[in-house]
Amino acid sequence: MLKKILIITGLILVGLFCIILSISIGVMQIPFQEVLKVLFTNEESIHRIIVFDLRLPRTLVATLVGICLSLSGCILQGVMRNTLASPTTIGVTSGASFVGYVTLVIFPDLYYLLTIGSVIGAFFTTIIIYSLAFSKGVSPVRMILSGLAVTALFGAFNDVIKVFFSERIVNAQSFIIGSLNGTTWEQFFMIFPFALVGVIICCFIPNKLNILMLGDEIAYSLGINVERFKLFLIVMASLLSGAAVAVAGLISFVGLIIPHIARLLIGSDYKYLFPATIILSTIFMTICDTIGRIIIMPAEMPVSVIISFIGAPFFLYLLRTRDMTK
Amino acid sequence: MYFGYKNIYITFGKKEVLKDVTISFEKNKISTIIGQNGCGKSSLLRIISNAVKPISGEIIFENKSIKKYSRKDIAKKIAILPQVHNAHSDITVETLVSYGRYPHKQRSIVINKKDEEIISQSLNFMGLTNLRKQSLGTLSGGQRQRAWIAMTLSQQPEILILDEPTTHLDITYQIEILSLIETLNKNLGLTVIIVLHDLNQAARYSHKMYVIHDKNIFAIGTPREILTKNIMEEVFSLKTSIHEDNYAKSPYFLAKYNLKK
Repeated sequence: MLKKILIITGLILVGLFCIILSISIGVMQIPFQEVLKVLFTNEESIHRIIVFDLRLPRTLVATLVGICLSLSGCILQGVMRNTLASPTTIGVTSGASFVGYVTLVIFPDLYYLLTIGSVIGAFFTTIIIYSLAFSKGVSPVRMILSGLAVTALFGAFNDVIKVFFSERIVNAQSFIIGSLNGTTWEQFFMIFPFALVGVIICCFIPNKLNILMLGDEIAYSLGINVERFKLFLIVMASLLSGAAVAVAGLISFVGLIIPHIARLLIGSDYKYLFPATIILSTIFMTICDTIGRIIIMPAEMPVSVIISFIGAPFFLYLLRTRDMTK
Repeated sequence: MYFGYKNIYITFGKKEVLKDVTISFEKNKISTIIGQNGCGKSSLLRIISNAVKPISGEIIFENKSIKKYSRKDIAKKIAILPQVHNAHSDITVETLVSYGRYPHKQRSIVINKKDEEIISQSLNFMGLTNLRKQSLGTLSGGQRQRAWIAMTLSQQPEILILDEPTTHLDITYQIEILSLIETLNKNLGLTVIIVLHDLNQAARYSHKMYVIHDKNIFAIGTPREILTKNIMEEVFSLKTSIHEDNYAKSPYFLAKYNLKK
């Protein structure tokens, strides 16, 4: 237990360091002490404007997107009792982005409806997939395959929309590309409530989730209303991943690999897994976003691209090493 | 009725499995349910853990349908260990056993002194005190099964229900588990209901046996009343000889040949 607490403390320090690092690096370099000075004093300066208007909202949104996606993955892995589940692998994010697109086409001027649309899309996709395929448990292979099919289907719909309604969706470039380019406080306030509620709820459910992991029958006989609890978790996972999609578009793999690495580091107990997931996603997202910003300076590489470059090989590695017969 | 089933009707798809089954189990006794594969004996138990949903009928606890109780209230009285259960191999014995306290907790998840005592007692009963800090992955099959039973004990139930608790275990551990269950019944007065495959073990360890055959209860009785040539022939299609185990003072059978053509 002490070891786990030490690991989490260490991760928190690394996380804070990464946040400050990502604020300090960019087209205009801001030294570390300068960042700290800007954050903790009221002195007016050019650095202050850059930090508060550009870098800070962006870093925070990157962090929150990562937290939402990876908590969502963490929860889905629990519900489906399968560590290969994640918002992307089972197709939830593609459902979210599809309904997001539809919302944009129908209400091109009401940008804020995008979040609601994505969340609704995520929710219905999860419910459909769960009730079709996973309620009785399913092999990872089948899960990946059905996720692939769902993603392809929604992707095709999205392309149709892009072809026919291209003028209507120009407002939401970052949503379409999967980037954090041009992120402002507006996006921050779109995703913050979801992330906050998600994190707060995660403080109250670890024990119940741990028991759910023992199997539906055991959980039921220990007094948990299994069906209601699972529905609650699914709603929560969809809210989280939907909100992330609305702000940053389709970002793959975060929801899969972060909970996975967290599990490797700290074990399967949700009491430690949730905090570890939250901090690891902070570290991962800030690093990926920083790389995206500086790798082809002064232009930007979308963060989803960077993540896929790191995430896809890791995912393949997992597929190779995991016992696929289970 | 203390605990039992009333007019249970179960189908799997179009196939009738159990038809209008009514059973009453006796308090403070060990009851075993036996029958051939697929006769519905496990399904009967799995209704209680909600894994099988009967078309009609109800489970009765203290004269009331268990639907009238809250989930947690039932969990304080009845503990079930299903046949299939899995846990991450990195969880410790102690943690697993602590989950048995869940129904007794309100919103708080903090394990207090009283819980701590009950957990230690449960571990002690199951002979796991020395292994409490170890993770499940490092245990043998028998030890792991004891850890699961310890979890149900920390629920402090009146009734303990086990679905084939000895499957996949070596014979040494089978006997170990069954003897432990016998001790629990004797020392704690637990009402125990077990589905068992091995008829000789069932006869040795139970007070009452319930035979399920042909979609219903076929016979109920003491081991001596159940382990007879007739029942073995009709239910299990076996020509047998029945003997007396002088050590355990219980009957046992030896199979001669199979009657099925």
